[in-house]
Amino acid sequence: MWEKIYKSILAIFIFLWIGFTFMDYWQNHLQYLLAIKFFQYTDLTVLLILLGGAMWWFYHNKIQARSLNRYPWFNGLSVFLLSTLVIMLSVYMFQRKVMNIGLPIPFDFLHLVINIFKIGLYTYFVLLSCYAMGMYTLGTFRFRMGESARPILALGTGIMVWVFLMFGLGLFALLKWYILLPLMLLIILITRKVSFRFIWNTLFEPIPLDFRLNWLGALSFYVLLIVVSLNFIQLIIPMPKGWDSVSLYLNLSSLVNDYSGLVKGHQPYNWSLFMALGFILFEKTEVAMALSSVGGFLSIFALYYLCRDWLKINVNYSLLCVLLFYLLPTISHQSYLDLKIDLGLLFIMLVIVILLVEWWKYLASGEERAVEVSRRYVILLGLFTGFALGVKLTALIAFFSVAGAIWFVYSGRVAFLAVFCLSTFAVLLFRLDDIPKLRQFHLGAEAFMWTMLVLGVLLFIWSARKEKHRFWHPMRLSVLYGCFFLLPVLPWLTKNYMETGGELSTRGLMYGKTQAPKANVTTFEKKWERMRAKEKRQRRQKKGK
Amino acid sequence: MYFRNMIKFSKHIIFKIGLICLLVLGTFTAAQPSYAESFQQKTEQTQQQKKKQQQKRKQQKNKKQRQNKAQKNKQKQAQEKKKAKQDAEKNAPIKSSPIREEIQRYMGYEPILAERYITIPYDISMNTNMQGGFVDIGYFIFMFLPVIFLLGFVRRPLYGFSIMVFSILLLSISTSSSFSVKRGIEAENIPPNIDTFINAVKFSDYPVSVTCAKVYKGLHKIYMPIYRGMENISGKRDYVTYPILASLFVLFFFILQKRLHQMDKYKKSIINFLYLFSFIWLILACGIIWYGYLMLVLGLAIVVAALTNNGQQSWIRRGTLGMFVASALIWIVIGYVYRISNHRPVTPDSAKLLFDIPSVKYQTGVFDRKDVVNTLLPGAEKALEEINEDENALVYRVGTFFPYLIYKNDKRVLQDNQLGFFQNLIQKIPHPISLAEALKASGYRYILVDLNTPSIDKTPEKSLQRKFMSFMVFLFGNDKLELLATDRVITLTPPDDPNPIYTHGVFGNIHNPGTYAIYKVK
Repeated sequence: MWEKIYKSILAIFIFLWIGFTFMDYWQNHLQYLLAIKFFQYTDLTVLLILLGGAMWWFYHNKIQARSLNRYPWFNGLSVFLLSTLVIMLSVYMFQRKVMNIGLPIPFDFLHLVINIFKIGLYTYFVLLSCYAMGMYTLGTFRFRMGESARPILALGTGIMVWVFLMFGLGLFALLKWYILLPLMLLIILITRKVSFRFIWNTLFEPIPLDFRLNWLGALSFYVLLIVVSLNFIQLIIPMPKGWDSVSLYLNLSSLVNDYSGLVKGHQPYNWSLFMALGFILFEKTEVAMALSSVGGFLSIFALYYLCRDWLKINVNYSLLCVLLFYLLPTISHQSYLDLKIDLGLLFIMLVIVILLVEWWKYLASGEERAVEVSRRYVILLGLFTGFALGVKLTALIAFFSVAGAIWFVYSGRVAFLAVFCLSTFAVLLFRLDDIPKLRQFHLGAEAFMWTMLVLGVLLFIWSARKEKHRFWHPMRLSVLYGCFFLLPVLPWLTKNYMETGGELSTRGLMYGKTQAPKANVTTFEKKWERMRAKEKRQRRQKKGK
Repeated sequence: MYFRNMIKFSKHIIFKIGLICLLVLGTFTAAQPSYAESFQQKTEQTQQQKKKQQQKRKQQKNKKQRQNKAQKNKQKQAQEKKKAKQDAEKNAPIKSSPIREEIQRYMGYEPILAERYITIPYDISMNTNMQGGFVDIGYFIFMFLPVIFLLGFVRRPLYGFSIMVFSILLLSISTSSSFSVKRGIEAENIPPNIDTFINAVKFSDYPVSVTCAKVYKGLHKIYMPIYRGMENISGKRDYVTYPILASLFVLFFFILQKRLHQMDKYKKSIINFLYLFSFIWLILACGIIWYGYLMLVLGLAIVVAALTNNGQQSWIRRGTLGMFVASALIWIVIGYVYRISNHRPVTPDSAKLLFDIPSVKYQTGVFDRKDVVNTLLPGAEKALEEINEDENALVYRVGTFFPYLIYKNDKRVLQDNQLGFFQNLIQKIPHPISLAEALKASGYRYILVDLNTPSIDKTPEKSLQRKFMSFMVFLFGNDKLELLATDRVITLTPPDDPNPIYTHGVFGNIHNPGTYAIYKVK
């Protein structure tokens, strides 16, 4: 009886909550209403539905009905060709509506296709070299991981290693195409088997099909393909349009190319260095922009892996989840309008989560070499977190969170809470809340900071006393994690330290010193007074003459 | 069964509440040393009084009473002084700064500090502080987060009810606070404001808005007592927001562990990872969503997993899954339509612009890079050529996209997007001509201005708008400055002239507001 009443209340609450949230969202986002009201592309949508419907019919009747788990013509290359077709249809419909072009002009479309293939190929080459470098590095350190996680981890590792190399070369102004290109070709040659396998798997190998794929999964895949295609074609422009990309991130990449080396000042800019490959290797803004956006594209695969392998979501809902993510306007915006580095950072963060998942898998399997495996995972986790910090300083959040996860697994809740207290202490100690100028509002922040330290230490002591044998192992791992976390950040810190002439402040170490003109009011005033005095003197001299 | 559960629950909760109380009390006591000091003073004073009483009990009865009174008055005055000092600290005017204008706008400028943090989850979902595709994260996380908690507590009513109560409290604070901040009204004036709206429009015309307004009104009743309580302990500045947030973290950590009790510790650890990540993001990121994309992605995955992965399918779960799929399909439709409108469906014509014309012309080989730049930044080409000719000339920049097109811009361009430096400069050198001379004396030859700079200003004091106005006064009619290029179009003829004459200019009757202006310092 009571249970039924409770369940009814629960159901009513859920219904009302979902209903109200939806209505509130709707009335706060009238742009969607306008988008539906003024929708201009019914013809394009009908064409796309017909194309999608034909594919679904083919899949349902020719592949699923015959219980085939692979179809020779369904591979990466054919998906790319389909994507090109979607782009061509969209561009033509746009030309018809806005540019008053009746029939498609073959030469224009030939140019368009060449552009798509060219930029696609350049970006693919960079990714291939990253994969090759990643596989080489992981192989060298005999790093073990699951088959499905391997490509994502290899790509992440490859990007990280290339950026380290570029940093080194950048110090000596050696970021030239004739240095980087042979290096990339060399690594592809060294790992030729792996590289060839990558090319084969991504372009020619039939994509494995899941029998449980239904209309929801197929629809999600198809809409995802349309959105990715539209985002991709909008990257083929000679100048970025977004505020942050123009004034900071792509500007930095462009300056790196201009100087063939590092740019002074700024917070660490790992992803801008990676994006600079587009300028250095191919002299193409489009490729640099594609490399900015590629973080989002790679995140699709990382998220799909997490849905399938970690959360065990079925194929249809996994595809739906990926689509829901990629359709979010904030993600779309950064994928083609304002090309920043946050999608790159997201990919690196997802790699960190994947590493945790893979590590836990090993621990759960109860292997004998768990300690050794753990060390390797911790080292890689530290390197990736440090690398992420070099992409954006906000990645520091991930550092504390990973430490929390490690302590939770080894020592449980109390230790996790201790990490929480100490993280809050560290945030306040280094005045990280003062960067967005929030500290001024918190009057007792100092006292709160010390309370958190005391609580954190007490909780750690309690945790250690409770289970001594479970305390020292995560402690050792945390120290190892911290050391390797610092490793990728150290070059940036050293660079900034040298630029500021030995300044040891958090700001100095994190931001360095730019070469921009100084904004000093007193200097301005002095120079102005000097100029006036000079002018007066000149006037007097003229009068004297 | 439920009674037993309740006892079990209360046993568990004693420890957790103890921990939270320790956290709150410890911090609160440490944060306000005045309590401890005053207690100590009081004890000392009573001891002194006792000694005096023993020595002069009979003779100085009257005198003692007078002394006591005087001491009490002194104490009162001292306490009042301290309180006044604290109040003054709390209510001291907040200085405007570029970071307050640029970064804190994402968080909102609620007058009560604790609310600024507590309302972040709602604000980032409903975009109450900042509007536009770049900050739009959809409705899934806010919609389904409490729901997946509740689905885990189908057999634990106490936890279930706590989640429901907390969700309603959060919603009441968020909706009321956002309503008052958006309209610039006091919390007390929300109901009359809503009534005016409801009376002015028909339900049949705006069913969604009227329904929401009615819910807001209901939620406001819950909000008012909370608001009054918060007003007493919080303000623009306070001692309690951090302890409150930390306590909420600990409380929900334990509830989260209850929700995850069926999972192995490995899965739990990653969810706890995300939980800690979200907390630190909340206190550090000012509600800027791209600093926390990871929460968005993993949050979505966890929501989908919680709704779809389960052995036994109860009717509540099936119903919720149905609502999820329906809302996902609606999202696919609106997401697709919005994407095809290229994020700008303001008019039927703008909704046609799936692509930009110059971009398509470039992709199809009709335009080269120069043509595209000329089309995107009309009229700027010559000015940019001039700026790039003299590599030693410094450039003073208030916004704009141009630095990307300026050679060695990292060495030549002084960035003053929120006019913080200009504000300081004009206080020292108030005369516009002198200021232009001062710029020239420091090597500045060009000024780049984004004419839409004040549009980002969301501060209650409108500090950026004021600074920009004074900057425009500096530019207006300044003999030492020469306008090189602008895409703003002004009318030279009176507004009702049948044959209007247009020209490019910054000041005058604006025909097309444009985006930029480039000046040369003569």
